[in-house]
Amino acid sequence: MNTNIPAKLINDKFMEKIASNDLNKAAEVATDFTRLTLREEGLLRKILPPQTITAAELDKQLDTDEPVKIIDKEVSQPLSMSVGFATLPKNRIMKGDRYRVDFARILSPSYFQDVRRLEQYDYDIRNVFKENAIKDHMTAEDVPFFAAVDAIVGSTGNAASSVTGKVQYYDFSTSNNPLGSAVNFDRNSIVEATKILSKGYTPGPNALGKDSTPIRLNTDLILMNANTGREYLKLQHSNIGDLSTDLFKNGLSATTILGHKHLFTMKDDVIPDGVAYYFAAPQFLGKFYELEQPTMFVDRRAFMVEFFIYSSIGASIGNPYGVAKVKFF
Amino acid sequence: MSLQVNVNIVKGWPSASVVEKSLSAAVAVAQGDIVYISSAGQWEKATASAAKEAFIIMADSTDPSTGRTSTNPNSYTQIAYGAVHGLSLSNALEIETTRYTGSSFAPNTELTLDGTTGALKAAASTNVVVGRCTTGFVQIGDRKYITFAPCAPYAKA
Repeated sequence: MNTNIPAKLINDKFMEKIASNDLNKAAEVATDFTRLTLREEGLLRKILPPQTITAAELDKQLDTDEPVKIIDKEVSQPLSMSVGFATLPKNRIMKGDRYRVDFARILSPSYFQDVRRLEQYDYDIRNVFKENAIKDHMTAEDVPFFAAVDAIVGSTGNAASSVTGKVQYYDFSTSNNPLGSAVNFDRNSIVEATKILSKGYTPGPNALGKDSTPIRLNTDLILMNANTGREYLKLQHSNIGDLSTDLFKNGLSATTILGHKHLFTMKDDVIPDGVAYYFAAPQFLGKFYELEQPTMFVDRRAFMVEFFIYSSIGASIGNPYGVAKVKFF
Repeated sequence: MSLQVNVNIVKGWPSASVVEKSLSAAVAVAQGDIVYISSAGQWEKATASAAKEAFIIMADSTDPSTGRTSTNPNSYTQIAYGAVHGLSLSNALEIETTRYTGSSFAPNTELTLDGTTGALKAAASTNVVVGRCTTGFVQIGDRKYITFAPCAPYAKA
């Protein structure tokens, strides 16, 4: 795939290929456009960049013929300790943990029409359907991911996650947050939120309890919708210094604030106003595999043209401590 | 979840013209279960009804591609992609299934549902019929199938 070709140019080539009945080429240019757009706009793809996987790299299972990949996890191990002379060490069996990535297909509807009817629109109606199908494809990838994140952090803010036991959801709109009073979107809450992942936490009692190394992660990416992001623009010079001027002048062009990468999305149906998500770096978070990259199937039988998009993907959050959520307002 | 084939569509599928759905399951379902769509848009088990569209389930809800949850949720969180595939019994199909109760299934035996288990059984005189046997028992490997042609449900009485 040539990623240097502008999406618009790729798109314009599509109808040329359809007109000349070169369906393989039409599918190829449409697939290029699809993958380019997904890479630019898919949220999950920004949080956990997909890794291409082949059938040979999958792990056969005894009880299913569906594709599955097994991933080894980093082990949880106990701390060293200071002891008196002649004390022998405790024994620990070396045993790791694993998690699985199951795969499924993402499939758009099949759009079809008589080519003579398609010609009767002043705009490229097929292209509108195609772009919407791509957006729907992204939504089908993103929505289950954020549902999984919400399931980890829980539905109640400032309460321990039932999955990890750690508080990974701060709700600054209520007074029981770590700052002790409802503060909404201000300098204090913004900074406090960045501590969720990095605050050391020792799981127990099921794991190694207080003997184990506390789990600490750096925040790698902060994701919020553009409406929430614009709250940064309201912060005064007395709060954030020259950044206030920069933000007010240039809008949300800054992608690094507080030393953390920010991603501002227009998708307020996926990320509600006032909510932000915090993610550890992909290597500490999980896996997102593409068994089949998004592919545009295009067919023309006589005068009927049809297309649909399909892919096969699988993703798992291998480290539930690597996600956090904040509700500012 | 199993490698065993408990449902085999002998005729009529795969086909682009069949009515089929991929939905999440409100309760655990398995290959061959006859189910309905709930008001929430999920698969649900119910007694045979002439007022609802019946479907046959093609995958276990514990299969990997069905949007299932993690097998060890405290260790990792599976992103729930996929759903459970089902075919409408109103389609023109011929189906082999191991999901039945009873021991007498001669050709033309009218079939209904066994309570809310999702299994097929021979219909009594007042039951709602969802299909008719086309062949007696068929043994393939360790699986013993009945073969039936589904139909739009109707009350037998």
